[in-house]
Amino acid sequence: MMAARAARAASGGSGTALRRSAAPLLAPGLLWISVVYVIPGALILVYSFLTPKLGGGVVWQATLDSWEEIVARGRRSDAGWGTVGAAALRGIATAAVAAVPTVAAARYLGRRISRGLGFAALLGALAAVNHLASAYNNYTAVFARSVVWSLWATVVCICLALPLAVFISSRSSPVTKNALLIAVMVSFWTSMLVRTYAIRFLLANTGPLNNLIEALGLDRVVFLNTRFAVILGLVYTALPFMILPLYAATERVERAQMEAARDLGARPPQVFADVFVPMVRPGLTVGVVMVFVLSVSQYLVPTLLGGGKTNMIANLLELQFGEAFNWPLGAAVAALFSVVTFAGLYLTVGRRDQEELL
Amino acid sequence: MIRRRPSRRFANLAIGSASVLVYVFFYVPVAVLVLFSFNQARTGGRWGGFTTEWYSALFDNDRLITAAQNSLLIAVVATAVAVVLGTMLSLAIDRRTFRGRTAAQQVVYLPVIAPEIVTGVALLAFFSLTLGRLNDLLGRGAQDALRMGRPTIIIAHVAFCTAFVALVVRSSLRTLDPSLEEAAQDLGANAWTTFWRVTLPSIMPGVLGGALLAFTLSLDNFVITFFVSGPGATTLPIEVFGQLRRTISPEVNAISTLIFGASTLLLVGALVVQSTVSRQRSQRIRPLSRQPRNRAAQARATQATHTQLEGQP
Amino acid sequence: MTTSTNKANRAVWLRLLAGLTAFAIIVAACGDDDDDSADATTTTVDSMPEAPTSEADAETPDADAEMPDAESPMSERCGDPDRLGDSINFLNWADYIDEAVLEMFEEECGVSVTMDTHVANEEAIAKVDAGNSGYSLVIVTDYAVEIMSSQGLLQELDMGEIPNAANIDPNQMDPYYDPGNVYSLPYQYSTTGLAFDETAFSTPPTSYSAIFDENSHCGSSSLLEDQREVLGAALVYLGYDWNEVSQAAHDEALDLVLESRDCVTGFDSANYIGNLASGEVLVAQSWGFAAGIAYLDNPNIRYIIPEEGGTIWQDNFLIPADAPDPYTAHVLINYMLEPDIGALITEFTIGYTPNLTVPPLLSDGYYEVIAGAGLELTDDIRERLVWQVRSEEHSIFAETWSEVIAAG
Repeated sequence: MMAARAARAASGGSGTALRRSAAPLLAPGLLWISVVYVIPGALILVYSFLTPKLGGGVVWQATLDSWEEIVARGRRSDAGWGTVGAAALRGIATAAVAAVPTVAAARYLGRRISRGLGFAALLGALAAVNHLASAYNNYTAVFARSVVWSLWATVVCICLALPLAVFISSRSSPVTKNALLIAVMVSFWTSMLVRTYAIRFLLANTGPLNNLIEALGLDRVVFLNTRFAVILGLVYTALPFMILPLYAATERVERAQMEAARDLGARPPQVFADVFVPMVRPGLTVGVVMVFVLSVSQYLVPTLLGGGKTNMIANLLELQFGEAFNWPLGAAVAALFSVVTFAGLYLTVGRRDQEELL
Repeated sequence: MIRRRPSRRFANLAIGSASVLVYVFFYVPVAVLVLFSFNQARTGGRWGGFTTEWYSALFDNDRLITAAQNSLLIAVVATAVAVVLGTMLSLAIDRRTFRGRTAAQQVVYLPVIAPEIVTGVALLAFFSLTLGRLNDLLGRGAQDALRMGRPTIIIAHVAFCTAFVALVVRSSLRTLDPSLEEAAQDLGANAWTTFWRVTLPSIMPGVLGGALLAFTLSLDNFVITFFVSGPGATTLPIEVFGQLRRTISPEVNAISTLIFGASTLLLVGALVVQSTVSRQRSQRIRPLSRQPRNRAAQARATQATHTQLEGQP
Repeated sequence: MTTSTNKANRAVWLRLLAGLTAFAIIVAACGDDDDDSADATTTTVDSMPEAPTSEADAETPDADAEMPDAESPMSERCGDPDRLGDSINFLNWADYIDEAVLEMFEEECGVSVTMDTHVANEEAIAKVDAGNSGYSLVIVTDYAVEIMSSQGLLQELDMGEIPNAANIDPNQMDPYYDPGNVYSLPYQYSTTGLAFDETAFSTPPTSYSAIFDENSHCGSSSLLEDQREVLGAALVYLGYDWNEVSQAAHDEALDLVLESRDCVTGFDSANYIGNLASGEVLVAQSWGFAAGIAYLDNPNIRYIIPEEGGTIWQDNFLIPADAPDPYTAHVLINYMLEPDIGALITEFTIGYTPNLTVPPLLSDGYYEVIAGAGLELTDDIRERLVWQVRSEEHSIFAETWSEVIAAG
């Protein structure tokens, strides 16, 4: 069918006709999205070069102050090579610790050891970069934290969504499948704000979870306003966006291939890694991007579950556009944040997977 | 075979219990808010006995009702516009070739990946600039000035709803074989008839699904709405956020329970309808959904399209 | 093509949403109808004269006053009927007025009031600053008045249209942020100090050390989510001025806040009221009125202004320069300064009223809360209170605060 379309596009006459007829279909929607996203986005970029005004807004007077502020080393940052050394040490330590399970996993899955080592090295590099960013200045610190927490949320989402997706797709009755999927959707339909508030109650020091823990004879645990609560909230909010694409992908997994691999002597982990994962990869990619993007810019979750103590990038933005009356600085942070997120996605999501997404 | 069984049963058990856990995770907070909507104690944390007073109080709560009305109105309008624009966009991207197609795709994906708070602030700056200029241009004074409110909220919501509709519809289009449409055109149907009689019915689930997703996203949006709203345009999430300053009122739990109940009924109803209808439908549509690979199949498809064109009123 | 399977693969999850819910739309249409009919019933309920009011207002005289007014064509409290508009947009702090007041004004004067709420002064400033906000009456806190007037966002009040301004306590007039009350009149005022659960302390705390140093209730204390209040408290605790802007002082204050951070459950301006009531938090930096609200749920809550000092703040009526209907706004301000209306408002906010005609009308319930929670504003306490000032040089507070936010 692709060939037919390509042929049609290539054949001169109808090709031009098609080219002409794309505009009226395309224009209204594209224009609308551009007006709401592209133009204001450009405006934000302009604002980042202007002067802040007391009370919010900008004075139309160009300055590089905001960008200098972002690039400058933080007031309380640890200066110099000590930090770099610490970051390097931390990276190496992380890689070393991570290497044990990754190499073991590589062996177990029948992959080359170097792949396990490579993955451990990647985690180590991430830890080092995170350390540097956390020490450099406020903006890089909060940004690095947002990224790391979102990655955690993504990993947890995969771990929760994968069994569920397999579970649902292995039901035989379509009605059961739909009922299970609808059960995911329905909770999604009640206001996110109210549900997050309910989570606050559940996690409180005097809340039901801690009462249960105490009843079991253990000490109460502080959940609320910790990174645990924030990551939990991120997972809660974004999980359906992982479940749906993963389910769609597992639904198309050809069980016969897995059976065949098993009959040919592959151990279950190998079947999982070599047959199952490649088949669900497109759905996984969509889910990962969705969950990560939703999480990294979350405002309500860190606000409600972080209690002002565990903030993410959106809280920093809110401060600049709110109490701090520094719109240009907020605009600069927002611009940098968007560019880094876009670039990161573009670089990490491979060419083929990009076509999946778009 | 025999050796494999125990490990399999174990795997199934693990998968099953993990799945149950996920549902518990989803529904415990919902259960809490439902419980609280019947709790006599005004501040949460303790159970003060069963009551339905918050439900009757809800009907006296002008602010919540107005906010809910605003939310519904905005969501309905935004969804309606977005469905049309999004479907058009996806048709253009999937069924037409044109220069800058990749760029167009990326613009469509923008609302999905742009951080909401940046969008909100950018829109506040943008609307205050343009509305100011527009008011100067039209010579409108303080009395009749154009200002932020429901229209600006709708403009913002339409943008991200359009993107999501386009993505959902496009995925439907991708699984629809273009040769069906070609066949219809070969049989003399013009572009409009082809769309109306062949394309649209086939992608209808995608269109409806996109509409539903758009409706949900619009109804639940807080951050963007917060920045672009104006006098009298308070939506439900904004009203609830304002209430967080004290403690969330039990009426909020009541209205959330009602929304939850209504959507559950709705979806369960849909499930029942779907399970009966899809059975009937699958018999009728099956020949169409198979992708024809050879001439004979193509001919069959043409025949089927023909029947469908004739058959539908 | 190789990508076609993947494409189809990806397509399925989106189609899923569709398949799942395709028919829901049809049912949804019916659901919307139901909502509409429900709304219709509520409207009729709402328009009945007995509006829901706070429990305490039964004693206020409005019950007697309102009836004859409603019968007469137009109350004298409604200004000049020829100049009065039909409707007005009003921007107020969230949860800061008894809605009955607006309904009474609507009934008495025939002006429908649309009230929107803000949760931060900065939000209100941004809305008005954006131009043509549509609001004719706005309520913001002291420093915001100064910022807005300095930027030409406000219009001068016509005191001739607000005769009830004469009722206002001279102590609350002529404030630093609006000398001579050119642009603003006080609405309610209160203070910021510490609220605590009496049963958790053998000797009641008298200093910010309860949070900053000897935090005996580590993990059960909270600070406000407000750069000025938190850093101000830290500054006075360290012996500086509440509005201090020197870098050295701020470095010290930041260290103090970061050190006590581990023991503080959160920087929280919203949930601590409920948390105080439920016992989740035992000592919290708190707004005065909020301590009163917490007291209603938990009579063990007490409020103090620490020996180092606290802030006094005042919310104000203002009329934006581009207000669509300034005259009606003047009438509404005057209306809210009526004794009975003022009483309704203060009973609800549990703040202090600047209106000298109001205190005799306040219920025993209100005074019970004020006395019980320790909210009386004596001259002795007043001496310890300062106003927060905001100008360009105070942007250092935001810089310091972003360090607090950035701390992991």
